[in-house]
Amino acid sequence: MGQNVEPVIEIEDMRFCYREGRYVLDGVDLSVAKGESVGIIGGNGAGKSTFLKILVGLLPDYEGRIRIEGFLLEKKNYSAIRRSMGYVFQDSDSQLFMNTVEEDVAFGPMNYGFSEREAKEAALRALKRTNIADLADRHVYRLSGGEKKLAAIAGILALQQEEGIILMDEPSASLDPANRENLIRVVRELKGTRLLASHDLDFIYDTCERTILLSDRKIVYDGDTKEILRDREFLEKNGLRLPLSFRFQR
Amino acid sequence: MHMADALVVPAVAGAMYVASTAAAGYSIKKVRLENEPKKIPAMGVMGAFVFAAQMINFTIPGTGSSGHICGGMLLTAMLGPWAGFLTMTGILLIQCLMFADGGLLALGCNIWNMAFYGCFIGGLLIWRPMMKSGATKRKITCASIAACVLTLQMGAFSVTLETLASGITELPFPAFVAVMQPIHLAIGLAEGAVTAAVLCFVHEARPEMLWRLEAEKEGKCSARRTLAVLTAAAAILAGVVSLGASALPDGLEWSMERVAGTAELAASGGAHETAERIQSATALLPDYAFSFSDSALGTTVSGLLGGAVVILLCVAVCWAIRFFRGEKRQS
Amino acid sequence: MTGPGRAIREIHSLEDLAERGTFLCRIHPLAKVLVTIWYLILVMSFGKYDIEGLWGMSIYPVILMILGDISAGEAIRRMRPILLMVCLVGLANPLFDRELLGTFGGMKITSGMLSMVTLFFKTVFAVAAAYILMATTTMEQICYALRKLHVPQILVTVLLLIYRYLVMMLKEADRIMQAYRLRAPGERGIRKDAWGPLAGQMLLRSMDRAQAVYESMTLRGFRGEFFLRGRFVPPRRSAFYGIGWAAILAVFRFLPVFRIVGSVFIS
Repeated sequence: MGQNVEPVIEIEDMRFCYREGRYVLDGVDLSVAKGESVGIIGGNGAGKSTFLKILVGLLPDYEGRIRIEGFLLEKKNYSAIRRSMGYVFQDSDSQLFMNTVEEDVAFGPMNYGFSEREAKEAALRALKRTNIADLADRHVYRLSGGEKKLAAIAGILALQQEEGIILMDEPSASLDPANRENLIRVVRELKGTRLLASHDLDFIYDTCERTILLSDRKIVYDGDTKEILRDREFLEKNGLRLPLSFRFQR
Repeated sequence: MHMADALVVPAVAGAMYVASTAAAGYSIKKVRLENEPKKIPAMGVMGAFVFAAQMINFTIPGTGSSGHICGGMLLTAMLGPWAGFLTMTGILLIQCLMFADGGLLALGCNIWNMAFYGCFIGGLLIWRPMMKSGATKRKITCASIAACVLTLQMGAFSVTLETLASGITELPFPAFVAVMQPIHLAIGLAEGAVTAAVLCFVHEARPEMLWRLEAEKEGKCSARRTLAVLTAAAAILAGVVSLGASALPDGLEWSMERVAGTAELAASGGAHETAERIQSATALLPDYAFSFSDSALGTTVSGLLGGAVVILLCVAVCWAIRFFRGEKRQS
Repeated sequence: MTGPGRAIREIHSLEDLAERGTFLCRIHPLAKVLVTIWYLILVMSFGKYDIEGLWGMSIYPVILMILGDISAGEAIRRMRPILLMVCLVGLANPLFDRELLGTFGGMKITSGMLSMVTLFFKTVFAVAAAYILMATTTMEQICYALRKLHVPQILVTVLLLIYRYLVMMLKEADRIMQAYRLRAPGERGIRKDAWGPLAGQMLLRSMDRAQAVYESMTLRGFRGEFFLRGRFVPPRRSAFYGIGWAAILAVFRFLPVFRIVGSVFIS
C-alpha cells in the first residue's frame, strides 16, 4: 500500500460522534501515501461522508490524531491544509455558488490573495485540466449535471499544486454513463492523492487501486480493490451488492 | 404592492431612497456586528427561496382565492430583522430589474413599504417581544398574523401617501385609503396565516433555526433604541410627505383651484407665495409646456407634429445604421 | 408575475439577450445604469399634464430598441401587469379631474384624461428603459456597476447569491406544485393542512443548502469577505455613450425640440 512513499494523510485511533456517546466512527486508523487513489466504500450511513468531512475540518470535534501533510488537523492549520486539500461535495449546486463557471473556479484563488490576473490564469488552467475550458463564461445553473461536477472539481484544482489532495463525496451520483466515463477519465488523470467515497463499485474499480470498506463504525477492509470486488459474500454482509458486470464476469 | 416608477415624482423617490438607504446602512452595521459569516450564504439562499416560494399559491379556505407567504416576516423570523431587510432589498431589486415588478426609481419606496415595515416593525416590535419568553405554536401564529396585518397596513398607507405626495392621482385621500387599506387587510390576514403555518412547521421540525431570540440579549436599551429608530423613521417619512407635497408639480395647485373655483387665488396670500417659492426651488424642473389655454392649443399641435417628424427621423437613421452595419459585417 | 415556469423562461430570455455581444452589451455597465437612472428621473419629472414634453422622451427607447435589436413587443408584453396597476390608479383621474381643455374630433378632452395618458406613457417609458438595460446587461455586470457606485459589498454579494440560486429554487417550486397538482387534481392552490409542511420542507432544504454553501465557501478560504472581480476596462466609447445620452436627454427635457421642429412645418 505504498508504504515506501511518505504518507500525506495519517489517522490514528480517530473517533467521532454527532451526539454524545453515539459514535459514527470508532477507532479508525489509516495512512495514505502521496499520489494514491483510495476508494472508500460502505452502505448508506456507514460514515463515508462523515469521514471525508472530518478530514477537511468541517467536523472539528473528533477524537484521536489526524495529520495532513505533516500538519496536525486543528483550527490554526485549517488554512494551510485547505490550500492543498479540497473537498468535492456530493451536490455540485452547493459548491458552485458564483454565477459563472470561471468566477466560481477563481473564488478560491481570490480568497488566498491571488491577483485578479493570477486567479483568472489559475482558473483557466484548472478548467483545462477537467476538459471544460470552453464552459468558462457559462452560467452555472445552465450546466448539465456532469458539467457541474467537473466545474466543482476545477474549483478545487484551481487552489492546489499539481499534487494536492482531493476528496470526493459520491462523485458519480446521478451522472449518465457518458458523463460518468468522462469523470472517470478526469479522475484517473489527476496526479494528486485522491480519496473517493462512493457506493458505486464500478466507479471505484475504474479509479482506485486501493479500497477501504467502512462498516459498523470501523474500517473492516483495507487493501486491493480487485480483491475485495471478488468477495461477493463479504460485500453483501456489509451492505453492498456487486454490480452486475462483476457477477457475470468473474 | 410594488409601486411603478410612474407613480412617484423624483423628489418623493429620492427622499424614499434616502430613508431606505439609511435603514440599509443601519442593517449592514448590525449584520457586521453580529459577525456571522454563515449568514451571508444563508441570506442569498433564503432570498432565492422566498422569491420562489412567493409564487406558490396557497388556497385560502372559504374564499376561493389564494395567498402567498410574506417574505419580510419569514426572512426576519429565520435570519433576524437586519439580515432579513438586506435580503428583501436584494429580492426587490431583482424583481424590479428582471420582472418589471416595481420600478427602479420607485425602488426606494418599495424597499421602505415592504422591507422596512416587514422586517423592522414586524420583527422588532412584534416578533421579538412576543417570542421573548420562548416560542409556542400559538404565539408564532399570533405574532405572524399580527405582524403581517400591521406591516401590510403600514405599507399600503405609505403607498397612498407616496402617490398622493407625488400628485399623480386625483383620487381623494379618503377614497384612496378606503380602497387600499381593506384590500391589504385581507391580504395581510391571508399572508399571515400562510407564513404562520410555515414558521410553525419550522418550529416543530428544527426550532433552533428560528431567529435566536435568547441570543439577542440587548436588555432594556433595545426597546428605547427601537423607539428611536421608529421616531427617526416617522420624521423622515413626514419629511418626505411634506417635501413631496411642496415639490409636486401641480397636484395641490389643481385641487386648490377646484376648491376656490379660481386660479387667481394663487397670487394672493403670503403663505402661498412662500409655497410657490419652495415649489420652484424644489421642483426638479420648471414646467415649460403646461400652457393649455385656448391659444396654446396651436403650439401643442405643432409640438406633436414636430415630435412625429423627429421620431420618424430617428427611426430612419437607426435603421440605416443597422442596415449599413449589417452590410459591413457581411462583406 | 405568474408561475415559476414563466419566471424561469423570462430570466433565460433576458440572459440570452444580454449575452449576445452587441455593441450595447459591450458598453460599460456603469454607463448604462447611470443613463437609465438619469432617463427615469427626467421622465418622471414631467408635470402630469405635460404629454407634449413627455413625448420627447420616446426617442431613447425608440433609438436603443432599433440599434440594440431589442423587441418592442416583448417589452410591452412585460408591461402588462404593471400597466394594469397603474391604470387602476390613473382611471380615477378622468373621474375626479374634469376641467375641460378643448374638444378633439367631437370628443371632449378633460385634464383628467390628459393626466391619465401621461401616467400611462410614463409607465411605458420606465418599463422600456429597465428592459433595455436588462436586455443589454447581465446581472453580474449590474452588480459590478453597483460596486462601482459604492453599494456595500455585503448587499451586492447577497444579490449575486440570490440570483445564483433563483432559477434552482424556482425549478423546485415548480416541481413541488406539479407534484401536488398531480395528486390533488382540480385544486388551484395548496390546501390548508399542507401549507406548513409543503413550504416548510422546502425552506428546511434551503437552509441545509445554505449550510453546505457556507462549508464550501470556507473550504475555499472564505472568511467573510467576498472578492468580486471586475472585467471591464472602461473604454472611451462607454464614456461617450453616457455623456452623449445624458446631454441629448437633457436637451429634450429642457427645450421644446418637438415644438420647434413642428413650428417649421405649421407656420
